[in-house]
Amino acid sequence: MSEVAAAAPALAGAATPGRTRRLPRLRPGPLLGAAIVLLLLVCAVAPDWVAPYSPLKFDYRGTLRPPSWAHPFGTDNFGRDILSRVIWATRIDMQIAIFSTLFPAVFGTVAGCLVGYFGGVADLLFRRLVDLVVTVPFLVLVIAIVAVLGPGLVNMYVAVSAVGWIFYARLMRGEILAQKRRDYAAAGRVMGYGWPRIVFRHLLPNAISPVLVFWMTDMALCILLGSSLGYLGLGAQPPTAEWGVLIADGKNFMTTAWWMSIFPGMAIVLAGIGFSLLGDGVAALVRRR
Amino acid sequence: MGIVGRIGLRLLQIVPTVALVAVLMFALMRLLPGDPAIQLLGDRATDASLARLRHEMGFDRSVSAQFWSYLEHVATLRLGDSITMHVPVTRLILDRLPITLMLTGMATVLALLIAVPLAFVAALREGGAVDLAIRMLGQVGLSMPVFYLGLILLITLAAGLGWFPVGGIGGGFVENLYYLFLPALTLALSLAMVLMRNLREALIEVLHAEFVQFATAKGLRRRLVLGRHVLRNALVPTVTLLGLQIGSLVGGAVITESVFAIPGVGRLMIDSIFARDYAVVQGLTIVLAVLVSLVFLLVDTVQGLLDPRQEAA
Amino acid sequence: MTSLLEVRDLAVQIGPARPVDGVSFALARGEVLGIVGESGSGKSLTLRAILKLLPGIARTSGAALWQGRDLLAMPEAEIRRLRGREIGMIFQEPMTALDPVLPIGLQITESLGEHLALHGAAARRRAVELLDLVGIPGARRRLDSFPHEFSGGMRQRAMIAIALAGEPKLLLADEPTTALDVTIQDQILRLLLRLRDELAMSVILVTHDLGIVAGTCDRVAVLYAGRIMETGPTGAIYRTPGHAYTLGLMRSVPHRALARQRLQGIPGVPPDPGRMPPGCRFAPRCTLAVAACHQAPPPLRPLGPTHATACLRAEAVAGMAAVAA
Repeated sequence: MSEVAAAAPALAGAATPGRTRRLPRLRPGPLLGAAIVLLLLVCAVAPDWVAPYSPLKFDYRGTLRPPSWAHPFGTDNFGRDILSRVIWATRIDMQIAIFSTLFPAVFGTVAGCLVGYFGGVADLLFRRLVDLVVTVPFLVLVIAIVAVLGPGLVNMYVAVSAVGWIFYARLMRGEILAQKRRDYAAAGRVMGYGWPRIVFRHLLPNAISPVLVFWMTDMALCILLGSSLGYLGLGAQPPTAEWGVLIADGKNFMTTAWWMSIFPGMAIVLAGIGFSLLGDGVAALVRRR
Repeated sequence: MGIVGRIGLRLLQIVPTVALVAVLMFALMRLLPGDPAIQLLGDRATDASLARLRHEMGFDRSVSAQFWSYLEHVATLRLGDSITMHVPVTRLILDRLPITLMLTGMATVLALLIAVPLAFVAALREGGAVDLAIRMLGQVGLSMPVFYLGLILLITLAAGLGWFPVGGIGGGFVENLYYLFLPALTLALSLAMVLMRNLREALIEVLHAEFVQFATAKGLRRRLVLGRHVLRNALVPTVTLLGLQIGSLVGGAVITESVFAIPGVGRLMIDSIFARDYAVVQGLTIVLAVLVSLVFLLVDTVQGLLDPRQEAA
Repeated sequence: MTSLLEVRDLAVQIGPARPVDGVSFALARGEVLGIVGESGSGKSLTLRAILKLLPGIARTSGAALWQGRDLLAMPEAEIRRLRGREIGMIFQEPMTALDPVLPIGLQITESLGEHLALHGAAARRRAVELLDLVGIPGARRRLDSFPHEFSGGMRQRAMIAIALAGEPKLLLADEPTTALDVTIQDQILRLLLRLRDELAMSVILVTHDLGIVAGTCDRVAVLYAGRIMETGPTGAIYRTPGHAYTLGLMRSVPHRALARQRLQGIPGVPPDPGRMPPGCRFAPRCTLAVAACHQAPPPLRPLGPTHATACLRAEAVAGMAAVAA
């Protein structure tokens, strides 16, 4: 079969004659992902521009209205425009995506670098920690921590950060261990560079790609997690407009006003798709290097 | 080493991990700021009632004394009494565990029933329209939170069409198969999307493997080539993934039980959190850690059966 | 003498490339034919095309007549029954060609069930006989062993046993010894010759090693860039090579009696299958090439009763070979 494989690059070459250095092809998936994420960011930054109504304006004469031209997503039990509430909720959910991953990504990366480079007792302890985190379901651990701290967005960030960094650190540690075996790391030591320079100037940039890709995926996961906790009443608290909270709001009207829960859920799905498609694009870009 | 010896060794390896979980939970529950007694009884509780509760919970003793008695309890599987329900935590958990086990078990079976055929169809038509549709379905499925999926199924199949009960459980095993079907399907769909994606990749890789071509060159029927050689090999990484997904599955069960009002350990967990019943939260976390460890062990054993090369490793 | 297998004008098209282009040869009953060429010459593709094992993107044309019936025109169900039963095949690397998660015994008995309707204990008995036949010691115990528990040479023997399960009349061997140590190579080649005699089987042996051909094959076809350069009896080709490429191959082997080593020594690399030269495909690398060589692909022409070449400079080549000898 090696001959079929051998013929393949030749075909690719024949298909694009004369082009010596190919530009990264713009694939539809990542492009769509970028567009979705951009749309969500616009909603998050300027919801008052995008949303047709105030998310808080009650209208007792127009409660539980099904989707119409005036209210594309319908209205809730207080007559509030659901589209506007979904748009305002974007701000909270984007915040969740960023705040739940920022600390874990940064701290986890640095921690992973250090354990990976130095090994020893710290590495031993870290590996036990990984065993532990793998053994207790992530959601259960986060819920247990939130239970102690009390429900709420900030406590949720604390809980997710307290556990989440370990995944980044594990990823980074593996990469650093692989990079350490390469010649240039030894060369750095021979030249008498200090460890901070070797670790952060030489090893880290070569090992960071998988972490960046994971960061994208993690943002999608954290939106799902944040909305789940919001739904359970452990994350964002009503009356804050958050997608999970909006879905929970509509739960009691499930049979009479399905639109109250269904549309906020679509926003979650859209965000999840956006971030993971973008993540695929980043992964493809990184692999090209 | 025989298979029994290996399993025994792995069982022993679970002990330190679970002990570590227990220590962590103790630290989490006792060392964080705040007085659980005040949190439990509220600001307006009298000093006398607070003192009584603290004594009941053992909080009036030194931290190290509490720690040792706690470890002793965990080791002997006495997880203390529920603060709010005044029932031994172990009893409480054991009463509800079967429902959760049944739910996750059904979900796993359903997930495989969904993922394996879809992955097969996609892999055999790699790059085609059907493959694209299945991959898009997977992408949407992966982005769909469990509670939302559950609500949709609830609205359409249970409340709308009336095919299934809207929640709760039935009176016996057979009735529960019916009551738990929709929640299990919810969990299964989430799990199936992850499995499908992975299995599709694995199948595509195996389909291009030389041993598949050799099996074809032997003149075996296509069904035998696919069913015996391709599937068997592709299942090896999928079983690994299935094991790694057990955490998500348990997390998903916690949420699903809330959506469908199922009295399993997941629902117990959420209820206990709102009731600030730390003894139950703590006990549950430890029990779930033991369960997950046992599943890892099971997956390792199945791996050994599926892939003889693992035994040497 | 009617041919067991006759391949006529076989071509494999993958996209715009034609890595096999107009290959014809015939094989008599009981004969061992060597197909020699560098990697990328299309020799493995040729073997796979005959059994219709190529993936969908590869399109095959021409004919492969098996006892008069065209394999390439056969419906899948029919050729499937023929694979393993009439024509067996062994691959280069037994480690990747054997299913890693199934015991060897099962990999034999599944073929027995498929082709000979042998099942259960009868199949296991036959499997032991087959492992004995290919010289695997302790055959009965090895039935439940997995591929990774065998040594390289034993794995190749096991693969041969599997291929023999359907009692084929022809064995296609795709570089069966390339992955093995030199001493093991000899054992496997001797095994193939013994099986040919004992089972009255024909063999097509694909290799890049001219040395292997010398001691094993009755006839040789030399393949280069998807075309047959020269074909004839092994002895004749060694005595009087009729193609500049064959000569180049032989020169890269110091002495034919010791010839057990990789090809080397021809300057340049084979052409890109997407951009074949218009004339003789070897012409760009050929030191003997004249203007005519670059214009049109030379057809095969007879040099003797069963010896043919596609070289315009065959006479010059013969002269050079004589000087060298």
